[in-house]
Amino acid sequence: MYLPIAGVEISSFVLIIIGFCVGVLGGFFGIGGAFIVTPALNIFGFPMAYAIGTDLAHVMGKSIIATLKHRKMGNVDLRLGVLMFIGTALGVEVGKELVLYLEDIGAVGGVVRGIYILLLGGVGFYMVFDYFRFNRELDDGVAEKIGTSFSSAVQSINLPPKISLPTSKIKSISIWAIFIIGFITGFLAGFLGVGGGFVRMPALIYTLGVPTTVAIGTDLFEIIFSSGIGTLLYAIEGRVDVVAAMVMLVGASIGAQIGTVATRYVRGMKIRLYFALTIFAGAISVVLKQVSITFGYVSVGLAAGYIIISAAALMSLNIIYILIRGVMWEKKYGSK
Amino acid sequence: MVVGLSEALSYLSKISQTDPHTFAILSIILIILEGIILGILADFIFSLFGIEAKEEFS
Repeated sequence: MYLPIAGVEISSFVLIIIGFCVGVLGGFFGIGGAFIVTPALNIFGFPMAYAIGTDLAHVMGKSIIATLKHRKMGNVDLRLGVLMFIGTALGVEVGKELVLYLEDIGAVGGVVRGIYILLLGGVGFYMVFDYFRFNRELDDGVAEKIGTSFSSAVQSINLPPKISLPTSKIKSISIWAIFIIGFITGFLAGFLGVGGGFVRMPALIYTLGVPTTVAIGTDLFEIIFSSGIGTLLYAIEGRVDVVAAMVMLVGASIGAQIGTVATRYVRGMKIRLYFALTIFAGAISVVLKQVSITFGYVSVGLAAGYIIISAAALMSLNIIYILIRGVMWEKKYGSK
Repeated sequence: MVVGLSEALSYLSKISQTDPHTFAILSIILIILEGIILGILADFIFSLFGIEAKEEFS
């Protein structure tokens, strides 16, 4: 099909498949998936600005679908999501200003990619470490280890006003702590030019002590707003191919259902491990991208895109397998 | 219906250049509506196969 807004000829089947894969990952991990969709669209011929704008529009629609489903499963903490979003919005603005400053002094590209690699690699490494440290200690039937010593310290900050978040199983927490964590994740998102789901989801787990499935649902709820603002800004510049986004949403609607329901059939610790593996693939992709820019190897840059797309496809297949296995198990032995 | 879709497509393409604010608002509305409708529809189809959203299982 020809897309007159972006001026690109692309198979609608390809768009549906991209939407489907990212829908599965988004529903399962609570991420927007910009680090997968943007290079994929770019490889299939979308100019970069259209790839980003179209991705944002698709992420907003997909997050609505996944949030509706997670809400039904009791995984969305609306109060936490709204409070955190206020801090996130401020943080994005400050992060963006820092990028503009770095742009003025001509150091933006390398610095942003360097921090991106450190963050993806660091978060991924910590989550793998955390999995192997605690997974064996958990009793059968316990999904995960909720909270860390850091999250306990954050929850004990005695700065009024304090609120309770029953959905997140938090008895009492200072609103300021939520604002500050939201601000930091927003700052990183604005600085790196990404939606920030891959930072916010682990931040909710490790710094606030939110259970994994609630972190996923609440993160998706926040992504609706952050990607909505991004869509609006890019659309005003005419850089959103809304038709491509709508076609991708057809695949994403099925994928998001699969990813969301699959979270029921896997322990929270396992979700964290799979998430870490996915963002490791993201880190490798960004490293290759940096190598291609530094040394001028175009093929390495292309390989970076293919690596992240292949990793996304493999992880989607794994999640589909988890769902099928879980549903069959449930049909055989009944729900616990 | 095909003619209608084609006309809608060329209208969207035109206003993306001439009236960016209307295009932006229209894009957001279209995506939100499609998200809600497809979400409800996919949820219904999945429930027909017995794959439903319930409280956490594991």
